Formats: sequence, structure tokens, C-alpha cells
Amino acid sequence: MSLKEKFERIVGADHVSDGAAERYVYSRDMTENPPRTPQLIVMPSTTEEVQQIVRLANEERVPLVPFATGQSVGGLTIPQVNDAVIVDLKRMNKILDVDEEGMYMVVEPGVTFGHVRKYLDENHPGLRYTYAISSPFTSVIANALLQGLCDLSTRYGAMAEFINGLEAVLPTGEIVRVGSAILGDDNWFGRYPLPDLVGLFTGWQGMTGIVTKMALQLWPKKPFTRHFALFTFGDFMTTDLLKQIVRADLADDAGALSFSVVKGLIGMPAPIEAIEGEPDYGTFLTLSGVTSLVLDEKVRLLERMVNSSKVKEPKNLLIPFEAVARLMSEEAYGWVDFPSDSFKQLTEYDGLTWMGTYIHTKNWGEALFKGRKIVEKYGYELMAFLKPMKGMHFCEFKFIIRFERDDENLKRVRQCNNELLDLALDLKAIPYKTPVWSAKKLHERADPNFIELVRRIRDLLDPHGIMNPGRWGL
Amino acid sequence: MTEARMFVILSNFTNDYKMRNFKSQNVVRGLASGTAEAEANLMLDEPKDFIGFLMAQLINRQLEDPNLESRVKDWKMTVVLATDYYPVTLTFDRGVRFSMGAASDATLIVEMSFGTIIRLVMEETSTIKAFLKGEIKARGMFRHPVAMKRFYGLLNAALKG
Ligand SMILES: Cc1cc2nc3c(=O)[nH]c(=O)nc-3n(C[C@H](O)[C@H](O)[C@H](O)COP(=O)(O)OP(=O)(O)OC[C@H]3O[C@@H](n4cnc5c(N)ncnc54)[C@H](O)[C@@H]3O)c2cc1C
Repeated sequence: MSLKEKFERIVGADHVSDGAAERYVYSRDMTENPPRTPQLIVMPSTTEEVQQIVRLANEERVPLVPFATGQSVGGLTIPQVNDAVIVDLKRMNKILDVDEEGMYMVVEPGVTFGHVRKYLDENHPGLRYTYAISSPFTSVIANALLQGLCDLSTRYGAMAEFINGLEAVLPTGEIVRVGSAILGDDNWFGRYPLPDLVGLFTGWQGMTGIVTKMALQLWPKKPFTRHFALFTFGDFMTTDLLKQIVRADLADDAGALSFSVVKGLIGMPAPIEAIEGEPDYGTFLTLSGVTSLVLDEKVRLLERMVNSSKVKEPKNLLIPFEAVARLMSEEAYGWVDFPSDSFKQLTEYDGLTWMGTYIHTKNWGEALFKGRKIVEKYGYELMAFLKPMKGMHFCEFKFIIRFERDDENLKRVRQCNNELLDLALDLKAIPYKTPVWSAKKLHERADPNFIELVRRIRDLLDPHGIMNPGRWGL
Repeated sequence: MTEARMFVILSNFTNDYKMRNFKSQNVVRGLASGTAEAEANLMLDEPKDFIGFLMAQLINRQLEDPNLESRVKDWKMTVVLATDYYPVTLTFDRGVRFSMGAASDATLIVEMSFGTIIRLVMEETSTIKAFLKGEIKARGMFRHPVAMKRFYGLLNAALKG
């Protein structure tokens, strides 16, 4: 029996493909990372099917690549070895539970930001999840596993912090749970006090197993919320002001964007130039309170901080979102309310890439200042995204490049990202959603004992090396 | 001209614009100058800068009103809107065209910060109040009162949607 037939016996003939079109689509993503064609794509619908797929792959020594929607912008689902089988998890798309009292949801890997938003709004209107600027069809589990960032990250940190526990099929085929649900269902309240084995799966880019369920924290919606746009000038002045605002615990979210991105949001067509005299950054701030009094007081403090910043830069401006909505249309509220649906401008061309990192707060301004010079040197639109993380304990910055995928651009984009990564590593930033080339550069500078430990854990969990081999430069 | 006289001119014009029920759509269309199409279409082209783009969108909404569109078609003036970010020039000549920078032969130079623009949008102030408080300054208005009346009216309507 062929390998294809064996997989068909597990998931049904309709859910296995070796068609040229499918293999082409799954061989690449929007980034500059080189494509490689898989031999098959399989689409399981249950944990048990995933288990059988992994067992079969072990017997046959077939490399597996877990796949949610392929939108990592890091080439993370492009196979690194020949003859890989893509395990597309989209059919596992159930929201299994929402626990109102414990404020968490249990979801399968095919559940998307769009699903979650709709489901909560319709069934649990008092609760919210946190939303990325990636499209609504991207996976919340993959996003959490990749330690991504969303619109509550300014307050609570990277998405892996939201994980209460998970269920996974190990590379050797066992189904395990980590977190408080080891005592059974309806008990996914958290990860402690236990050895914190969630870390065996987050940041591993699918090398340690296939996560089939995850419990993720939800948050009560605050009854009083206001949004502002803050226009600022200068990299250091912008980051200094944001640090002040976030340290004072005023903002639930502070997503700062190069002004070119703001211009894209108001409808300016590509390519967008940064014009002398325009603000450098537009930051969307969300403030909330349990009473209007609390909210008003936060707003007052925010206004005071922005006014004080005007001593150095009189043109800094805090704009109530009501004004933005009047200037644009009510749709502008979508930028802050459900960002996942608002950044279509990023997919203007067939190419999209970024060099993104988490960085020490003290190095944030410098990273922007020097990073923008690199992007300008290569002649790309200035599209920095920055976010203060976890109450200002650390920061995020990334430079996004949207581009047309011709040979010249692919080469130039690689060089630009390379230079940006060198800058980031010089500033001891840790790149996220790392493509292989980027992980290898990190290895060169990182404590070798750490890399060795990572290798040993991977080998221990995956003795036959079937899970996403070659990923993260291992 | 006295401030009181100015006030009358501006408020008449403002009211004139306020009464219109303009559609609000975010459409920016190209100016088809010098063609038959230009006669029927005064829409602006797409500036590359923020203030120009924003103002173009806002004014375009107003120009969807055919009465206003036909009147603006006859305007011939150059207005510099000097914001604290940078100046933009609006050239009215069988249509409206935006360019970055300040034209040296401007009929009017209107100075206001972007913050004042926002306060006008929020209706925290009005063009008249802002003018009287010095938040809006205009040069050329005594020599070209009609041009100023027209521009203030258009601006006021545009910012209020
Ligand atoms: C325009 C745009 C904007 C974006 N903005 C953001 C943003 O604001 N914040 C942010 O964090 N991200 C952002 N992203 C990145 C991305 O959308 C998210 O990280 C996303 O949720 C993960 O992508 P995905 O769901 O397509 O996963 P995939 O790309 O399919 O998978 C990502 C990695 O996880 C592994 N994997 C997937 N599922 C599993 C599983 N169940 N078990 C084990 N391993 C698994 C895969 O093998 C791969 O290594 C953006 C992307 C785009 C295109």
C-alpha cells in the first residue's frame, strides 16, 4: 500500500492530496524564504486521527509539518526537507468550551481569531479574547504557540502567557496534557503549581508535537473604553512617551505604527512615502475603566503626559478616536476594536516579510532609529510596528516590508532583513517567528549550552526526527 | 474690514454650507483636467502627503453635491493651508488640485495647526471662534474677501462632514 493510501485510511480519501496544485500552494508562503514542495497534504479532524498520522510517520520515518494557515510570515510551514507531509489542522475547528467563571476557552488548532470573536460576541458578550493584526482566518493556537502579540499584549505580554494548558500528540504518538487539566476536563484553570511543560511546545515551531487542544485566557470586557490616536515625532521621543504612558498603567493597548501605515489605513494607495514634516508615528491607544470616573481620570493623566511632551515637541498630538471616525468613517473603530480585519494593506503585493523581535526596553528607541535608516537605505516603505509589552517589561519592534516577488526584490529583501537582524542581535533583541536563516544567526551569538539543551530536548521527544525537521536551524 | 464684518461674512457662508445634506463617502477620484469629463467632474487627484490626502478626501465628499461642484468649478484662486506639520497648496482652477509646499503666488494663506483642525472636527471650536482667538490666521483676506469667504465655507463644511 502506498503512503498516500495509508493516510487515506486514517482521514479518508477526500482529505489527502498529492495534487500538483496543492503541493505547490503548501510549498511556499508570502516571504522571501525559499520554497520546498511536500509530497502530501493530510487533513485530520480529530486528536485520534492526528495520533494515527504521527504513529504512521514514525514507522515510515516520514517528516511531518504541522500547519494551521501558513500565515506566520516566517516561512515556518515551508518544509525544510524533501518528501515532507503537511498536516493541515484546519478541520479541527471546534471551540470546545468557554468557562465563564474561570474565564478561559478550550479550542482546537483550526479555530481562528474570526471564529473566536464571533462566537464570544454571540454567546459570551461579557468576555473577550485578544486580537492580532493578522487576518481573521489565522489560528489562535498557532499564534499562542509562536508567542505572538495581540491587542492585550501591552498589558499582559506575549500570547504564550495566555495559555492555561494544552493537549498534544507527542512525536512518538502519545497524547499528553499539561496544566491543571491533568486532573480532568472542566479544569483548565492554569499552569501552576506544576513543572511548567507548556514551554515544551511554545516557541518550538512544531518540532515537539502537534497541539490538539489549548485552553486560553479570556478577559472581562471593561464597561467603559475610549480610544485615541497619538501622533508623535522622533524615535526616541516616541518610545520615551510610550514608556511613560504604559508604566503608569494607563493603556490596555498601545500599538504604534510608522506614519506610512497610518496613511495606508486612511486609504492611501501603495507605495506610501514618508514625507518630511509628517509625524513619524501614530499610536492607537485603548484606555478603559470599570467606571466612567476611572476612565476619565486615566484620560486626564494621559492628556497631561502628552501635554508635558510638547515642551520638547510641540507638534505631538493626542486625537480622540471620535475625531478619527468623523474624519474617516465609523469603520475606523475597527482598527482598534478588531485589528485582525483592518490591515489588509499589508497584503497589497504578493510578498510580505518582516524582521520582528522582542527587545529590552532600554534598547527600543535605538532599534527604531537605526532600523529605519536600514529600511530607507533599501528603498522600502517605512512600516515599523512597535508595542510596549507586559506593562513595559519589554518591547516589540518589527519592520514590515510588502513587496513584489520578483528576483531583484527577493534578493534586496533578504539583504535588508539580514541587516535588520544584525542590528537587532547587536542590541541583544530576540527575533521571533524565526525563519531558519535567522535562527542560525541567533545560534552563533547565543549561549551554546542553551542551544545544546534545546537540541537534547528535541532529540528526547522526537527520537526519529520526524517533527518539522530542520526548523529553527536544528 | 472689521472683525464683526468678517464674522458676518463667515457665518452666512458657514450656514449656507451647513444646510446641505452631503453624503459622506471616502472616495477620491482623479481630476480629469482639460477634458470634457473635467466639466462634469471636479474631484481631486490623490496627494501623497497626509494633510493633502486627508483634505482631498474631505473636500471630495463635499464635491459630491452637484450644486457646490458647479460653483467650485468657477473658482479661480490659490490657497496655502499652512499647518504646523507643513504647508499644502490648494489650487482652484476648473477643479481643485493639491500640492505640497506653499505657492508663492497664493491668493490666501491660512495658518492653523493640525490640532485646530481636530478641534474643528470635534466641534470644540468653530472656524469663526478659532479665527477670533488667533488659532486660525489668514493673510490675503482683506484683498480677497470673496476668496476667503469661499474657502472658509468649504473648509468648514469639509471638516464637519
Ligand atoms: C498581515 C499579517 C499580520 C500579522 N500580524 C500579527 C500580529 O499582530 N501578531 C502576531 O502575533 N502575529 C501576526 N501575524 C502572524 C500570524 O498570523 C500569527 O502568528 C498566526 O496566528 C500563526 O500563523 P498561522 O495561524 O497561519 O500558523 P502557521 O503559519 O500555519 O504555523 C506557524 C508555526 O506553528 C506550527 N504549528 C501550527 N499549528 C500547530 C499545532 N497545532 N501544533 C504544533 N505546531 C503547530 C507550524 O508548524 C509552524 O511552525 C501576522 C500575519 C500576517 C500575514
